[in-house]
Amino acid sequence: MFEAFGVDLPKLFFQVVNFLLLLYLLNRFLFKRVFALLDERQRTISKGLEDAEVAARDRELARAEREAAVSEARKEANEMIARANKVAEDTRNEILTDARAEAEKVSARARDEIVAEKDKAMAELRAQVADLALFAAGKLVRREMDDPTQRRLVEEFLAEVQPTRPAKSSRS
Amino acid sequence: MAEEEGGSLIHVAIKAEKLFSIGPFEVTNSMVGAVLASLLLLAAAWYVTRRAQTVPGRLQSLIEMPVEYIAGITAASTSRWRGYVALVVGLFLMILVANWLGLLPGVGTIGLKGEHEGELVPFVRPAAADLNFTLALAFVTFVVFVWWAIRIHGPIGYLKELVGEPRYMAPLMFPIHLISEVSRLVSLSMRLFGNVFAGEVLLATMLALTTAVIFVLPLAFFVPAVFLGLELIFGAVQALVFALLTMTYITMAIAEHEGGGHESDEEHPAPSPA
Repeated sequence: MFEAFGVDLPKLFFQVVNFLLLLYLLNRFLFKRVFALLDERQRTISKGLEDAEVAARDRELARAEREAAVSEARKEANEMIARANKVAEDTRNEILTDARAEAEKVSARARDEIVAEKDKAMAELRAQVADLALFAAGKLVRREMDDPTQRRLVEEFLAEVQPTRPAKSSRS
Repeated sequence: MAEEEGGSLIHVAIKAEKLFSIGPFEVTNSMVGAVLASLLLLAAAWYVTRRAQTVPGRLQSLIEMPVEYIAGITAASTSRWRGYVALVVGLFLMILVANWLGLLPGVGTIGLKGEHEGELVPFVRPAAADLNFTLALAFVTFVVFVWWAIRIHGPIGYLKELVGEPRYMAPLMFPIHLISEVSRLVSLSMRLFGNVFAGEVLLATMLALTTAVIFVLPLAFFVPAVFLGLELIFGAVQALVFALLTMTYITMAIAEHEGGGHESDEEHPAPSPA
């Protein structure tokens, strides 16, 4: 069969040797070089991709950080404003309360003083009225009415009169 | 046959024709084709090596592209691809260049009037149109994939592969396996030879037909061009088929019955290729 195709050993052998020689030379000079270049290019590309990925990740990280910082700052500012508002409110309330209490105190003291003053005046008035009454009565009866008993009677009378008087005076 | 018609326009000899002899050694025109293809490849290799840059120029990428392409395919086959990638790529390049060389004008048409009946004997014949060439390549492939099988599984492991699993079936299976191994040799070489030779015959026929009618139908001039374009594709496809089948055979030889390999990997540790 092979004879019909012109196959014989020397020719076959020549082709084998030719191909093996070519393969050896190609491998020696072309493939090793090309494969090395391919590997290098592969490395370069993958390194570039890796770098790009790292850069993207860094960028993303920085963005997140920046956003976090901004939102943190905003939150802090809001807190600060809220705190300041609260402090101002508290202070206002405190001042108001204090002022009110002070005013209350002052007016109470004034009232007390007025009452004391009035009491004092009343007491003095009462003493003078008693003296005057005794003196008038003495003139009437032409007698000294400085007897303690008499004086006590007059004072008792006056004391009986007293409660009605402020009521009347406050109404007029 | 065309040969018997003497002066016929259609003439493609099935054998490579003898050009001259060096002593007892006949030099055929397909040898010239093979050597020319080799020289072309070596020139390309020399060019790339001399001016290789990491970022390739146009011509450099043109030469690197097929190498890169086939190497990429081979790299996906097994983890030992480094050990046989050179063979696969080399086969592809050699067959591709040899096939395309046959399409150049002048190849197959420029030659000597032979000693017998004034037949034209072309100086150059596409190498793959000679069974010697394809058989040589297939033989190299055959040796390599059997060598890989023996290297991975050991001689005994390889014999076990041939014998097959149920041991009592051996008398039937062993010859079948043996024939299937050898048939790869035949199918590889015959496929390539048949395709390229048929392409040559087709081209010669088309050329003869159109030459015969060229004065009547001038546009017939373009018909062989169409077939030349087809042959361009066929040449590349055949190169790819040969290279990838080689890769597949080696991959199968390495990976075959990996699970049931009886730890043959540990028994015969393969030294890493240089």
